[in-house]
Amino acid sequence: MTRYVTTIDLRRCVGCQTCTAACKHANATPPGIQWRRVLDLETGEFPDVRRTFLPMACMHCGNPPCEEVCPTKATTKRADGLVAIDYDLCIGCANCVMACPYDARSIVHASHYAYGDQPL
Amino acid sequence: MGSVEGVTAFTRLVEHIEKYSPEWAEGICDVPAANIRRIAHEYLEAASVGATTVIDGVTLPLRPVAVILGKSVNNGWGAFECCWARTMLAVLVGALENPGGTLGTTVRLNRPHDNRHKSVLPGEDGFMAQKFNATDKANWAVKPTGRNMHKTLVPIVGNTAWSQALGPTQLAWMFQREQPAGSNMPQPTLPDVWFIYRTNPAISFWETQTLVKTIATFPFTVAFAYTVDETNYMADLLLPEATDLESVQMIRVGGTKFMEQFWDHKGVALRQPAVAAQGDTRDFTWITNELARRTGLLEQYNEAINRGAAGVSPLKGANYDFSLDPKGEHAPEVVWDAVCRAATTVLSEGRETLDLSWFKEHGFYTVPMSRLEWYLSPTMEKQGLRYELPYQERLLRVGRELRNRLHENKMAWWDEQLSEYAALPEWHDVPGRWDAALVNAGAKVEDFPLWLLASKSMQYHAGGNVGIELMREVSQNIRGHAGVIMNAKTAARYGIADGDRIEVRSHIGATYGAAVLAQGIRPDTLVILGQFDHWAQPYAKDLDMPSLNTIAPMSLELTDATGSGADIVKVQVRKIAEATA
Ligand code: SF4
Ligand code: SF4
Repeated sequence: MTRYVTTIDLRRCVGCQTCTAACKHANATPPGIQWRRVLDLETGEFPDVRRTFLPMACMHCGNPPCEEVCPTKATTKRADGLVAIDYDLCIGCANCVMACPYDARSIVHASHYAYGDQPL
Repeated sequence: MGSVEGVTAFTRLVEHIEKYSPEWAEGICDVPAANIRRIAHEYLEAASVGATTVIDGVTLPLRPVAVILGKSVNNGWGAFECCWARTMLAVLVGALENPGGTLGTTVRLNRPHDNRHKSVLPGEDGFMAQKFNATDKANWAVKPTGRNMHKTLVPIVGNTAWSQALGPTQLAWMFQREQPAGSNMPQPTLPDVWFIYRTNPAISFWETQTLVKTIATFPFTVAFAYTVDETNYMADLLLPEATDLESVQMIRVGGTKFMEQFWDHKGVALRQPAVAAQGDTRDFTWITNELARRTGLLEQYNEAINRGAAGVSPLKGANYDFSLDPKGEHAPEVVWDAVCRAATTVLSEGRETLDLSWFKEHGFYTVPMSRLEWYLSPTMEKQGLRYELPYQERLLRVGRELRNRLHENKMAWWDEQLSEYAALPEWHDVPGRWDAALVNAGAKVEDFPLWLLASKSMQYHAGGNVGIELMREVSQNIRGHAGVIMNAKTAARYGIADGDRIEVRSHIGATYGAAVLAQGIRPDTLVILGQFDHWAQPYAKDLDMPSLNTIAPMSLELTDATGSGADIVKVQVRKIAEATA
């Protein structure tokens, strides 16, 4: 059976954040919710400074901590390797948000919209 | 026949460059000589001189090295030297327009716009033919043909639709206000009717407020628009246009232009409505059809489309004919149907012809292309041509001719710019030009100790994207997008903490934003990502972004020989308020 994994080549990422925008667009996540963020990090002191781009997305971990802490089995690792969420089972406890080492989980408790307090 | 003695261009280069040693360079910049030497050796080693690669059966040099210039060094004074040096480095190791070496050094050729290889033709002196504007006595355009004077002042930009963008756009604005001292050029007139389509000049130049005042004096402005912006705010006539997601258009995909050497296919894609057009807006093809009809230009309009003005292929070729009846009125769908058929016939070399309904279902059509098309060098070789480096005799000659023409007409106000017409560039004090400009403007150099530069954040800082909430949110992931980037140690000296609101003031005005402290920036420099002072465009106007354009002057003495200036201005900085939590 096909097994899916996520790979990111950090040598090639230029920090363009296009994947972030594309993910938000495809999944229509609300303002502030990014399922794929790219960190833009600086290390060192002038003039010896490095800039690193670090995409942060769900890695579909081999042994996912988010699955382990999920009390309702809303989060499960599927046979094909993907870690999926069943929104009907999720009770909003946010355990997975705290457990995920990649900061890939987010939780939305109230509706908010891109332009003002109403949908367009 | 007598004989002449000469030296090779490379001998001249070696002699010329000898005085510019790493030790000399260390004295005028912050980079130690040892670092310069180390990087030079790394570059040479990485170039793997001698290595080859085979592409579609053709053996080509493989030179995986490139120097990429950041923004602000490839515009305005100093850009000639930077671009020359960058390209020269590629030439020295055989990387120019060869596999591995195409990052940043790609040779841009504009005619024909879809295939730069067709521009590679021998000129009279053994170099590639260039369509410069004439500088000889008989043909020089003594009377400017446009407000930016590109045909008169800037030979190397040629005289095509692109020339204004490549050349001195801001001269058109500057000379509306005042002519240079001693100019005997005609006073530029205001445009009788000014058309604006998908551009926002009111915020896209320096000295934004003055620019807006100039635009406000234009007698009649017509704008196509899908949203309010700073330029169409002043329009006398607004023609509501549908957005790209509401209209039909065929666009090219893939292929290589001057910067995209990574496509294995080329073709066309149909942009078609994803949603119904909102309000009173109309598809742009409908608008142009109507304008042509109502102004009695239908025949010329249809003929232009037949020649390929819709942007893909001519509608008639050697073995096909989908051309429109020049005298008829054609609905947008009819126009695009003909474009779809012509494009697919040309791309497939006559194997198949696909219509609009096929594209509505399939979206795009591509054919494979050889990677050999990525590189210009094999074509140069085929034509028996070599690149015009290191010694640019033609540039020198053109500059001398231009000087003669201007002086014959008693114009000395472009003399500084003429210094850039050199066969081998000499170093000159570029920062000093800004100090001199400050003094000439009546300001004190010591009052403006810092440099403010603008940088770009790819898709986030410009155009309609600034007004899209999603793009704004994502842009905040980019370090510095939230304000003015400043060296952390410098900020400490000024008592400025991360997030504090600061004023950045030049001798003509001030702009405001939050300080973003960083290490990776020179202590004497501030950077703003984006430079557009939105005050009308919905959403964008409320973002309170700092803007370089607001406080950078438009100045002839800061304009280089191509008529371009740099997004650089000398400033002072002070804290206005503490960061809000
Ligand atoms: S930011 Fe995302 S899209 Fe851009 S280079 Fe990095 S991984 Fe790719
Ligand atoms: S722990 Fe985070 S990264 Fe790993 S599978 Fe769960 S959500 Fe994805």
